[in-house]
Amino acid sequence: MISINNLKVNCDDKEIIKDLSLHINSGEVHAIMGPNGSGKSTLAQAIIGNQNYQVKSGTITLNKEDITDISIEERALRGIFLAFQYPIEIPGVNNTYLLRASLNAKRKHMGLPEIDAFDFLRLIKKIMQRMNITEDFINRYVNQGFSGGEKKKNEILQMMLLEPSFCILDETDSGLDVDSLKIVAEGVNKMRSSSRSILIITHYQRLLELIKPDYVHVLSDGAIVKTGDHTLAETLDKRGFDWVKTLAESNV
Amino acid sequence: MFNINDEQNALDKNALSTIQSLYPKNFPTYKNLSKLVVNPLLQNDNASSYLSPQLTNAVTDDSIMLFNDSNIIDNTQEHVKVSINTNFSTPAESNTLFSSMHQLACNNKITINCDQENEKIILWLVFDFSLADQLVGYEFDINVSPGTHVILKKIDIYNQESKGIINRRYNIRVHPNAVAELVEISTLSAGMDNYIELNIEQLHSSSTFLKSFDAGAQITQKTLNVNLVGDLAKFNFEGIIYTKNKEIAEQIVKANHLASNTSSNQNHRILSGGESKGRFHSTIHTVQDIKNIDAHQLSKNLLLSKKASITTYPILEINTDDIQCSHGATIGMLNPEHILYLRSRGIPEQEAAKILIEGMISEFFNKEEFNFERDIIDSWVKHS
Repeated sequence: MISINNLKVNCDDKEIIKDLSLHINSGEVHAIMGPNGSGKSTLAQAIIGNQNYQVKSGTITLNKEDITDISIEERALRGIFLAFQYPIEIPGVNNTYLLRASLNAKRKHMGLPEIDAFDFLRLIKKIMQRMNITEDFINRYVNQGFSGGEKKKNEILQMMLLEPSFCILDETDSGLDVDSLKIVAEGVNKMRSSSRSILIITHYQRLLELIKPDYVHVLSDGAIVKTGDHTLAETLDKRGFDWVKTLAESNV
Repeated sequence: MFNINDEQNALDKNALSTIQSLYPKNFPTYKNLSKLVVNPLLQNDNASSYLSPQLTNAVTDDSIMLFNDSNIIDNTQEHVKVSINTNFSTPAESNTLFSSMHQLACNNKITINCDQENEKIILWLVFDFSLADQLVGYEFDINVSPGTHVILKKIDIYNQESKGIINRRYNIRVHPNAVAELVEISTLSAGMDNYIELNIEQLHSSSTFLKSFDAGAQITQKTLNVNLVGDLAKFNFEGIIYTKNKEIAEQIVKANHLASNTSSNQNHRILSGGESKGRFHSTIHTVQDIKNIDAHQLSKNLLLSKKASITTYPILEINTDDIQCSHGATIGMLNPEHILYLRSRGIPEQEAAKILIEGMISEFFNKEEFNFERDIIDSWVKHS
């Protein structure tokens, strides 16, 4: 599915990701944990193709095709989706409009006609019901006036609508109360399939108790310092990120 | 009441099919099509002499009025003056003046008296410039009688071949306790010059809410003079000018506070792309010895290209101490984070910019009652 090979990424001329490699097969759920500033979000931004993050060397391949140099929208159309850590507010742009425009962009890419307005509403309402979201949600401006939890739910709503083949959840659990966390986790679990890969970026184990990953990677100072199964998250939760630093130093 | 003959019927159908083809959604007069009345002007050279009583009858019959100036052409090239005195005295929900303007038709003067107390009157002014090729001009005197609530909506129809100079003046007098809601949409072709002057006089406890959108014409100049002459008069304005090629657009606003306890609130936006130029010149003026004034103006502008330019002058001429007043102006570019977010959802950069522009515009037209106007504007932004 997705392979990241010897990736080095700079942001503002500072090297953040330092020779990182990661391979995620179809159907797998991977989690990346690590302290603040370890490069988790930079990795996510580099994968989606945010040009503010410069890939200095290495490659990213999706389904064996090199996507390292293609545009952010082209990557999205090929099935990469990022649920943003800080979803931005867009005043004046109706949520429905964004959702429908995104879906139609994907359909156009697939050679399908634009979705009929009635069919779209039926589809989005169905997903909203599954996520326990009220109908006024889609008639508001994108993320404007949303609580932190609502913004995260909106990201998952988009993800469920667009059905990407590779999903990245960047600290989706932050800002969510216990009930919302369960709803989001249920949504993500329903999206687990043999044709889809998921990368979860988080500080905490609590989301991983609800979405059980196949692999957990520990990121420190721009490199993966340890990989294990879901029990690694439990260990990290108990031992804290200082343990990560020790691991990193021992790798040196 | 007129007897509509076959020829006139055909003209009705042509006119309406033009509207329908341009604005297929939600056109508010669909429900009244059977009542359409055609002005006999089309068949009479000496129209002005017998136009007024006939049209007055037509309108008081709670119908839509259509008058066509295409034959108001004086061979001597002197300006022709048509005077129409129209009284909206019925509890009409929706009346429409539909004017198809063709060639030289200047100094047309139309007086509209809205005098239905405690009723909401919705008046549509639809201008068809699709055949315009020279100079057209109109002057409206609109009286909103005491206690009346009028919603006046003006839109334009045009096509890419439309050209000429469009000159319109509205003199609006809002009487005590009356409410005037004005929606002024001008989306024209690049071959047209668009000059609009709105003179609004507000009497005691009157309110005016004005929304405007101007785009497309090679030159747009909108001048707005508001005189708050009565105690407790309120004025609220939200206006957008959108230029994207080589247009020059200017909006000049003067809010004159001439009485105590008056308030004005102005919110302007200029969106300039291509090599276009936008200019905003707004003044809040107060006379001496008036009290408890509330006056605000905000100009938030967006440059959409490196070669576009925007000049903004938010001016205060304050001659009283008892006032709460603010003014501000910003000029910026589209937020790159917004663009990035939309692109991350598979939306191409150019399309993302359009969505954001539409968003900035639709903030002023986000209520259900402006759905029709928003459709027109969205359609213009998408297809222009």
